[in-house]
Amino acid sequence: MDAQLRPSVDEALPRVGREAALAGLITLALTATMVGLHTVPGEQSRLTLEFRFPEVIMAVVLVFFGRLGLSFTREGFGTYGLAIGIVIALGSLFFPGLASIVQILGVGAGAIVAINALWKIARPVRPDRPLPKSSAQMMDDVAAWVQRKSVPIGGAGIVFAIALPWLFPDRSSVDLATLVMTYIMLGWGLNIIVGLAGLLDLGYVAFYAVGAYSYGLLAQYFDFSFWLCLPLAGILAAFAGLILGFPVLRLRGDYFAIVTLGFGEIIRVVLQNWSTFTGGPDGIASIPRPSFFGIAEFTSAPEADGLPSFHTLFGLEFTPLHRLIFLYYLILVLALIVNAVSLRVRKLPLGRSWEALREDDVACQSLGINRRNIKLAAFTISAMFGGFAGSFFATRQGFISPESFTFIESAIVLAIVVLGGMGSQTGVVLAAILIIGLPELFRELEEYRMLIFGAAMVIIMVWRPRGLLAHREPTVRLHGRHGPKAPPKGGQAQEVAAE
Amino acid sequence: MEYFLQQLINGLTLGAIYGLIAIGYTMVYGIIGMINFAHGDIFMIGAFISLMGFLLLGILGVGWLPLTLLIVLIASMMLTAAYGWTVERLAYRPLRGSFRLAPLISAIGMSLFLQNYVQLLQGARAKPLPPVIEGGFELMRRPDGFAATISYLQILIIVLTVVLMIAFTFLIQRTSLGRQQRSCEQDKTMAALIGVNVDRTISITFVMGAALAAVAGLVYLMRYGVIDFFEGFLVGIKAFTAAVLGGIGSLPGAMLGGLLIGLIEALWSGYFSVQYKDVAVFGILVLVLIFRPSGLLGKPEIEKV
Amino acid sequence: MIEVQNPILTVDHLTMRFGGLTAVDGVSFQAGAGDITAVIGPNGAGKTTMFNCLTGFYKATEGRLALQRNGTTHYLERMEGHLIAARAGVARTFQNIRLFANMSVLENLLVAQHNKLMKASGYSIAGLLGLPSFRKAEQEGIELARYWLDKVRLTDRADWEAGNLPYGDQRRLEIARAMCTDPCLLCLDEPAAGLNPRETAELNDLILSIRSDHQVGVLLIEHDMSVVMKISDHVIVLDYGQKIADGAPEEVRNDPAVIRAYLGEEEDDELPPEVAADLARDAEEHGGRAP
Repeated sequence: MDAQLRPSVDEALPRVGREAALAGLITLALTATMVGLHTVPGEQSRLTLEFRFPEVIMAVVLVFFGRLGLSFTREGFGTYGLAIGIVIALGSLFFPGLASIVQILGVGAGAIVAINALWKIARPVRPDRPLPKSSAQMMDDVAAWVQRKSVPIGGAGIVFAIALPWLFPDRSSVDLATLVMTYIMLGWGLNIIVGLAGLLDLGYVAFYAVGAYSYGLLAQYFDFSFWLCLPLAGILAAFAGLILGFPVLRLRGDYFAIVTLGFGEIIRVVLQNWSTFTGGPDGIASIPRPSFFGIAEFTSAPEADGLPSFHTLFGLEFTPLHRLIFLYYLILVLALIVNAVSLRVRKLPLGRSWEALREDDVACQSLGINRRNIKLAAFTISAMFGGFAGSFFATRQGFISPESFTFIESAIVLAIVVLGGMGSQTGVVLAAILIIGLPELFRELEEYRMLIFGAAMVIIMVWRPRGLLAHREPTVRLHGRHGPKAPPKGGQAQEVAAE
Repeated sequence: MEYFLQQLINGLTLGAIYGLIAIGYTMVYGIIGMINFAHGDIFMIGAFISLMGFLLLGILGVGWLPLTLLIVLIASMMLTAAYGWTVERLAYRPLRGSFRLAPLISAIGMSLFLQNYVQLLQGARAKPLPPVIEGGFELMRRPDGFAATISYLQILIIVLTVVLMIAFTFLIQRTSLGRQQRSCEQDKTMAALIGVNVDRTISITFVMGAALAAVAGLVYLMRYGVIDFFEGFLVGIKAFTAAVLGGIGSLPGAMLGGLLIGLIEALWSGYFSVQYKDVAVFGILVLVLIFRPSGLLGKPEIEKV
Repeated sequence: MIEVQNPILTVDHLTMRFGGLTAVDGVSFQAGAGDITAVIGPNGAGKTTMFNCLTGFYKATEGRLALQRNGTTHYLERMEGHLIAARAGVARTFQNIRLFANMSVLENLLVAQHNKLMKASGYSIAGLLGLPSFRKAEQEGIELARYWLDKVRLTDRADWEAGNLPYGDQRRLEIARAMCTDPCLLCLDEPAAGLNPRETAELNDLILSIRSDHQVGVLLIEHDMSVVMKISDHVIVLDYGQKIADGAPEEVRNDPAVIRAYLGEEEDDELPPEVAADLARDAEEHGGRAP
């Protein structure tokens, strides 16, 4: 903004003040009941109310000043914004008698306001210079860099993943790594259908459940081993995908999403109520653990079921960690297979047609592409990977019940894909670590996990609708990487102006 | 016969509740073409605010029932509407014209946020409310003693719904606000060019949808006497099914769909199995979307080329 | 109806109704195998609707659409949408360009060869294994794409995102993409819309070369008469869903029905007598001509 064009503080003040007052008022309306009144059980199991008015006042004050700071910064008064941000942060830190959660929120809000102001001060808009890049554009550059360096980054990641059980040889670390890896695998599986084909599947957990129950039931009724069930679970889940996919694939975007959600819930309700077959809400317990490829068992006794135990076979000291590490490597390999297949398919005609479908399905039909078949392929392959992950889940937990397959689980996997960056394999890893790993490390945050999670989904969508690391590199190039440079985003406008 | 009549009455009451929520889905879909996934949670918030209203008035000693009901109704509608407005402003407005799945994903995030927000602040346990209105008429009695009754509450629910529907139809068809909404539905750019404040119109749509969801929350709470933070998810999906069944974008369709879903659910639980009633509703959703995606009263959609 | 020698497409009493509205009403015509057939008419005449029936996006209410390809007759009205492009070889472009905007120019052209490449990749199995037969097929696909890129002068921009191309390039890319499906009939929906005169002249050359070098019949919806009159062999005029003229460009240009459709009826009679008198006096006073 030009110095002359910038309004004076007197001009901006009424506008800024009005915005802040409105924001404060709305906050009052939102918090007066939900925050200000606490429904607690009273006498005779009747509810009664507790009042929490200080929290309401704090919320209103925070929002009022936060909005004030942000609005000042937007109007070009970065210093005011900075000052207000600092006041908010210090005020919430040193004001007597505040709950720690309020302090955290206040400092966080103040920091956001202050950083926003600093950002604006550091990169002023001047007529003689090109517009400074927005934060989303800078993130674009980061995403593009990650995508271009995906081979070294991915390689380093795999090396780290392999070394992990040696770096942290304790039960909780290996368990956590296994959990994160399971979600990475689910994320990669779902990425095929959401990221590549652009179909929002809200019922992915259904295939996870089919895989898990396939193994659980086959082991329970027929005594099948894990190594036989793993491919069977994948096939059954793929089959489920085919059957469910057939009717729903003609549906448009959001209808498709809701119907997949419906299918996910139907499968869960059936699992819950068909007690004679699935064990109902109690689920299936004591699901057998996998053997070491059918040649050894992970038992403390030197021999079990006619197989030697793992530690005697390799002449090691017995430790229960062996099985956990083995499970970790198993899920690592499974996940890497999913990754390899996705990366490869993306460069095949099938993968390209998925992406084309995401871009414009009408044009796809006009080119003679059978939309139904390629959607079905995406759905089935994605379901198969979900099935593999499900049977792994069953064998790792040793116990499954419908509780593990609620919509929340689908939403978590979807969030991993979406936050990481649709279509970005590295993004899935990053998001899985952030979403699954961090809350496990900060146990006290557990309570707030889903709250933060929902908020993060909204914020990331608003900031970068295609996800943090979303960036697309062409699957094939005519001129190689160093050929004529493509224009940056928004290049078209310059081109037109030049003509 | 008596049993059937009873299920019919129960179904109609439930259907009225679904219909009220479904209107919110259908209006939002009509105007910005997105499924407001968080709408079920707005309903849940409406029920919670109503609950707090009853408790607060109880503490303050307001005893006269009609006055209590009126205050709770108005307060709940207004405060829930504030949630509807905020959700649109924060999570959907910035995404207008963005990549096509973005608003839906943002809505799912909002839904998770609202559920956990309520859970954190009010606890996970279900909140009971003792019956506010008791008594009713006996309609028919079987020799074995089973009687079909319609409670005063059920009458109130049905009357309230009918009144709101009439007011609403009037609002949409006869007022300038309704014309603005319909014009935004047709073509937002053109509406903006002829001076319609599109952002404001969309906000008002969310506010109206949330206010109706609050009414639904209030009567749901009174009818079933309990609410928890997760209740909005399932009820929301069912109301969405109702909106789709009636033809999404059509207000009478939403009401019709709501009634049908309510009846189906009540009769299914009455005659088949309670456990699978949700499966029945989801099954209907799937079937309708596959065989008649435009619903009963909706206009068929032609793929624009 | 003009009988065309060696027709590639015979449209017989095509009718398309939407509820009460009849968008295309009993239209019959033929398009020749090596011809450029232009379909013109005022806005709302039903041209695009007819295209959508031809290419399977709408199911025609009535009528027959017979397409000759290599001695076989395909009845398009009975075929599934994607098979019209895949089997019968009808390719099209869209009035509002529909490229795969986030994919590169080259990828757009490879997607157009999907069916061929999919078969070559053994429905992805040979592709996953990286068999040489698939690599060879893909290389051929890239060569075909390069041929068309050269032809539409986009070779330098092959690795750009299609959505970043300037408008004129996007139009040409869409035509190249349609040609990569190896069609026998190319349907162009207003290809010259939004192009400047230089680009329009290039477009004319491109369409002519597609016809002559590739023996592809062209069906063209166009408002720009400089395109229609210059390059088409045969013009069909629609108005209110009905065919009102059919013939060589010269004949159609002078057809009174066409002139009426474009310029409207003479409206003198409809003016109230007072107004007409006023106008006449006005014209006399100013020495001008009466309207």
